[in-house]
Amino acid sequence: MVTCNLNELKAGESAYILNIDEHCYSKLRLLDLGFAADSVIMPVWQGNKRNITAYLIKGTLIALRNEDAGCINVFLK
Amino acid sequence: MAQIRIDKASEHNNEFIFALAGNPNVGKSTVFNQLTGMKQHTGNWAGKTVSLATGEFMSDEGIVHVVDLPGSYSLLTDTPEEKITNNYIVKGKYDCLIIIVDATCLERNLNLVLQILSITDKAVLCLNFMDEIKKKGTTIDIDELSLQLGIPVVAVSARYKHGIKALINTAIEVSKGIRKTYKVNSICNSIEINGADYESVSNNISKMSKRITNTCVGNKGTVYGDFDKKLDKLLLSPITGIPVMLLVFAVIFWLTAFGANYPGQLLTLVFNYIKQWLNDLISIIGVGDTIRSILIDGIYTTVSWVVSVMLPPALIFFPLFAVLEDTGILPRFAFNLDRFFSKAGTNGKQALTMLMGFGCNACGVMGCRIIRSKKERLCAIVTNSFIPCNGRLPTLIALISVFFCTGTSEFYNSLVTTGILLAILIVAVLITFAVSYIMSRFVKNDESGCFILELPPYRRPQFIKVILLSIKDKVLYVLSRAVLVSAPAGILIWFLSNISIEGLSLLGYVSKFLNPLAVYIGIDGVVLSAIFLSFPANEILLPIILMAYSSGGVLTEYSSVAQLGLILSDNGWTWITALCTIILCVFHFPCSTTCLSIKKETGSVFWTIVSIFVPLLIGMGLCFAVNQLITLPV
Repeated sequence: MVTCNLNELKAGESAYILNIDEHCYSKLRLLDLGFAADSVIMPVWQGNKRNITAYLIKGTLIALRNEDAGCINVFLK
Repeated sequence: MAQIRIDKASEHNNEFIFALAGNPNVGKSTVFNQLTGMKQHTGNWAGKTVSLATGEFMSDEGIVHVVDLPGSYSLLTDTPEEKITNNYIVKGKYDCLIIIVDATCLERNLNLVLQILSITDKAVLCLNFMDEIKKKGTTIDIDELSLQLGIPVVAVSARYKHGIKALINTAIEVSKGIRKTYKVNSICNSIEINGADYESVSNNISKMSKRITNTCVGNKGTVYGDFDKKLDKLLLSPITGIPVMLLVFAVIFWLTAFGANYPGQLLTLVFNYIKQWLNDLISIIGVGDTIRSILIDGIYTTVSWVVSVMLPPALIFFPLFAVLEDTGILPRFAFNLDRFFSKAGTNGKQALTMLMGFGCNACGVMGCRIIRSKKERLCAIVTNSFIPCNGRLPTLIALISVFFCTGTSEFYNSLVTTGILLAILIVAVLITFAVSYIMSRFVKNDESGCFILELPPYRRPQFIKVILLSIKDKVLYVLSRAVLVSAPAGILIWFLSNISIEGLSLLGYVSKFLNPLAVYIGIDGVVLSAIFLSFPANEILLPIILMAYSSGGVLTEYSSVAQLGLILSDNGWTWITALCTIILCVFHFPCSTTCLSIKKETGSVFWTIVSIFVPLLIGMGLCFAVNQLITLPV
């Protein structure tokens, strides 16, 4: 199982959510939006200079800033 | 926020209470409209409904009261909107809870559904956007879904009114106990809302919604549709994204600024005609010339001027904006602009509040509710009035036309005007960034977390419905505010200009007093007093200036740009005066309605005062700098 940060994924590369770091202020909010363990997530669009990325998760498009996406750990199959 | 005072429950056989719950953006308000026929504004980005709306309709079985709860992602989080929803679901009185779900992204929606089902089974699941499901070729096994959840499931396509009748009948059956529902044990056992570890609860729910979706939804196809993908490729790409967005802004901007010309002139003609008729009428009644003058020259002229200036651009901008909202394109703009706003210490949603502010600053300030972080919301509120609203556009256009359009071709002149207006807008945006940057250093960071932006699916806007709603919602609001505020303003202006002491009107005294300061910053006392007197509504700035110059004590209109130019230059105006007046028109203080909105949204007198002084000081400082720079001997 290869793990990395969400912001290290390339566009079109999908992965499964492992967990969210404890210190992330929006952890609960992210869980509500579907960033729960074992959910499939895939970066789709990256903003200029890669500072915000839109992710496809549970059939919805959610955009996170790259520094915030660093709090989310994912694993590749 | 509306307090729910409906305390009739189903003890009465023919009165029912339905509550509508669901994620944001699932079409709750559309369903609400279809049920109650009451028009409520909908918009395709999360955060629109911020207070409870109620309505009612007559069904075959009796009166049904309907409560539209704000969208919620979970019963466990605590934004102000979601707290209302959560409290109502847990503690409120209702006969049936209609949980509305976007069938095209069932899995995510099930998060809330499963939480709700651990608390109550007096519910019906309403699967909305079934038309889109059908188009995609996806199938949903409704019976299986109903079995797994323990409640009835109704397929609905709210915007085409399909399935609404079935929804009503099913909800009534559940209310009366005719249709049995049951709590599914596996859901309840794994969810203990009180005190359990949030993370493991969420993970359990997530696993469950995945399982249910896999069981019930077939032929999923691509989750992210082709059309959406193509459009997002255009709008979000680093290369084409911002230019396309700027093009959209330019079109909105141009239509609002110039499309309003002819209707505005037409309105002025109509109002003048009515004025003459009113004058005759009042002479016949015979109330004396002073009262006639107060009524007609004071109140009527001010109100009619404000309306004829404000109404045409509002009728163009707000419906346009509402249609854009309905398509789902606006969050894409926030996505593109976030990188600039995050450098300034705020976030991309501020671009949207600024766009709203272009229509009406008060509406823009209220729109700042979509910004979650308190610090960033304050930045957006305080800087909102830097963007010139619809009410100030005609003044800016008139002043630019008089002093900066020297060409003979009308087309060339309109290009020059557009160019200068764009330059003004760019300066306003840059100063917004600068002030936001400074403010974000000083305001306490409330650590409210990450910037999370949902990009909803593109939906074809329901043009007619959205346009009519926006007219009822926004345009009528701005219109009524204009009337309410400009009537007393008209009386005040009348008194200031018609009451004379030793040959000089009160307004004259004020102008004289302010003159030294005014000259220092490149204008004159009349203009400065007019700026202050335009506090009730920005539209009256130019009329006050003209009235003071023509010393007739009556608000004057001008019938041509040339005539305006004559009056102004006769009173000592140069292009420098015009430039400084333009600067002050953009940067002074928010109008009365906006100030009230600021007080309401921030709940703080301190921040309201800050919002008044920041633009004023910037305006005066800029004028001073410009004036000194230009008049300095080289």
